[in-house]
Amino acid sequence: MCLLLALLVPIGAARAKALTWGADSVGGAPYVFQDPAHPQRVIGFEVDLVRRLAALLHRRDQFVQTSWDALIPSLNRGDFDIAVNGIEITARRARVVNFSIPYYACSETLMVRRSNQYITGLASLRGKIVGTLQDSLAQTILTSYGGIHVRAYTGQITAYQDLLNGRLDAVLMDAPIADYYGKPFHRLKVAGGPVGHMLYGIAVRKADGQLLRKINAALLKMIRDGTLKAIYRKWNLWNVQTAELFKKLSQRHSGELAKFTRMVKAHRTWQQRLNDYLRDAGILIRYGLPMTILLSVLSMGVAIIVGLSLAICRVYTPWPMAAMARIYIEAFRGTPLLIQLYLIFFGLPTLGVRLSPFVAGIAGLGLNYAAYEAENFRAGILSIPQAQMEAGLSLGLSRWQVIRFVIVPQALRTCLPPVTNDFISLIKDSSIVSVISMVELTKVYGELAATYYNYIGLGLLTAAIYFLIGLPFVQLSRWLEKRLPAS
Amino acid sequence: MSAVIINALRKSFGSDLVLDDISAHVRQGELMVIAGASGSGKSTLLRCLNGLERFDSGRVNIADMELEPRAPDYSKRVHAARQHIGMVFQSFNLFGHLTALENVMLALKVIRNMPPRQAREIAAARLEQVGLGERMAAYPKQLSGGQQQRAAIARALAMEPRVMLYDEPTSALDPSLVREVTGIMHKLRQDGMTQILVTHEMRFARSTADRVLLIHKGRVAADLPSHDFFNNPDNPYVGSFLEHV
Repeated sequence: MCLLLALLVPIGAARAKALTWGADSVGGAPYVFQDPAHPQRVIGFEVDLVRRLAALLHRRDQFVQTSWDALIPSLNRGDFDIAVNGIEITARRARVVNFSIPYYACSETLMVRRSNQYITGLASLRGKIVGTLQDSLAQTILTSYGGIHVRAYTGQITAYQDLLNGRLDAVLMDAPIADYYGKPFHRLKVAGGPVGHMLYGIAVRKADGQLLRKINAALLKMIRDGTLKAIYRKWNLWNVQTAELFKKLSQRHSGELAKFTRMVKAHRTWQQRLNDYLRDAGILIRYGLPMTILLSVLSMGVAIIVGLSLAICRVYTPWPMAAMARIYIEAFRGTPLLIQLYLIFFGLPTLGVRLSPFVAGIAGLGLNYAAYEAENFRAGILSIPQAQMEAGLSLGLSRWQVIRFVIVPQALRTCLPPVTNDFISLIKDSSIVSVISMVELTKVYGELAATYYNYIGLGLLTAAIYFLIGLPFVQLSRWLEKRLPAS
Repeated sequence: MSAVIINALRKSFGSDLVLDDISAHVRQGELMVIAGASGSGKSTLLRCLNGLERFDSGRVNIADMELEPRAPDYSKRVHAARQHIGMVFQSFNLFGHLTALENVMLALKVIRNMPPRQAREIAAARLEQVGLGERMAAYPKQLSGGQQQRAAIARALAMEPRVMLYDEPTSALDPSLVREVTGIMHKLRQDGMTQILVTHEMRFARSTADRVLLIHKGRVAADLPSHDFFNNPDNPYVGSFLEHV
């Protein structure tokens, strides 16, 4: 205990001095990213910005790595003092955190393949598949425009990769991201002019009013003395929008300050909260539920058909085929589903097989679960007495006829409980396809929760929906078990 | 005319020689009982006749099909022979997921490609024949042992076999139910069916069998007409066997 205290005290003392800041350095150029030459070190224009800011506050800065969509919740949980990572100032976010005055202004950049002559702006995107970053202004612009198939990614690289290999028709991203990740590809080009307008701000906890005032004062100073401009020039990010913003801020900063600090203390009544939940449940059920059910049912279909074939191969075919079935089962059971999904979705295109996210998701889940179903079916087949085979053969049936008409029907009946069990498990595992930009329940939950910073309430709501999906299938299995005669 | 000929049949499991130089024949329409102590190899002999066991050497001629274990087309011939051989097991082995009627219909539908209605008619007639007209919709689990065995016989008869093989068909039955099954065999004999029966029911053998083949330690110890078998104290094997039954 004493030792623990002794350890904690110095750290606590150091914390009081350092200004801790959260950002996501994974694929985060030019904002915050790992220095390729020194991977332990982060660099970026926001790193430079925070360093100067901390110096003006007479504090040391300390970087805390946090995934981007968790920045606001982590800030409010107290993991760090401020969040600085290209966070757009929006009224929704301002409900849960305070924002500093904006430190950068920019637009969205639309990029397409160089060969594409038809996409020239938002209006030509109707009916097209467009990728963007999850929970970004670009996503809001695209979805509210209507008629555009929006695919939300968690990483910009995969989005541009999918644009290159033809899964997407266009990608809309914040200008700095497009500059650093999109434009280097020679096979891509910018289409049309800048889209939308956005302001980045530093997020501060609601309770830290004093810190916010100090940050605003320091930012103004950096704007007036040209420090910020120099930083942006260094990173090649200085643009018209930011120039105009800085002009406005230096002239009448008090008005801008008031405007941004006003987006606060919105008190919500119980009635409003209930309405929020009803709206969110509606969104989850409309946009997430059908895909989750469709994915689960189709994947299970694949798993049962492939699994049964594998089980029959293992039990009844000569060794080369039986061994191959066994290798398949062990390989798919023994490796993570997530990696299998990445291989199918991102790996296969390099071999020329390009599957849509939907097909890739079904293939990934189905082929993985097939390994488990194969073992269920094998156990079921082995539980049918050998005498059933002899009786069938003696009647003059061929081996395959006996397997098909005598053994398999009885084995399936025996397997119903474990297969149902796996199906319930698959429904929940289907959430994993959100990593390949499929929109299903968990993805919709993630987007809603990140939008409203409500992880608990929406989490329980989503979990309840998953629970309810499984119930009818459990009932169906019970009914089948009763209806089918026991062998 | 012989319906089944067994010629110099040998069969071993590993180094264990279970059937040694068995030769016998069954005439058309005869009922032959294969008798012997437990472990004498009599069930194995029966199973060699429809290919459930593959013997090592010798020849079997059954349903006009010559079976030679080393012949390249042995499997094909076994499959062809089975179309004309009915087999009944000690543990009935009805298909658990099908009703009595569906059990009888299955081979008609799958092998003969019979339309369901026609298969149903034939199956129903066979079940009537074995006295199960009332229980056609029952699953095997819902039938008594005697009823299950009668359904199994009906299932074999539906394919119109030329030879029926029975592997201890009454051993798993209550003594009171034995006659349900032996009655059918008795009736089939009157109809001229060739039948081979492995059994311990010596009373039935005495009353109905035409011949008795006694197997002792894998060899033929006696091959006699039924009347001679049961009145032949001279043969030491027969005497000792009958004493112990």
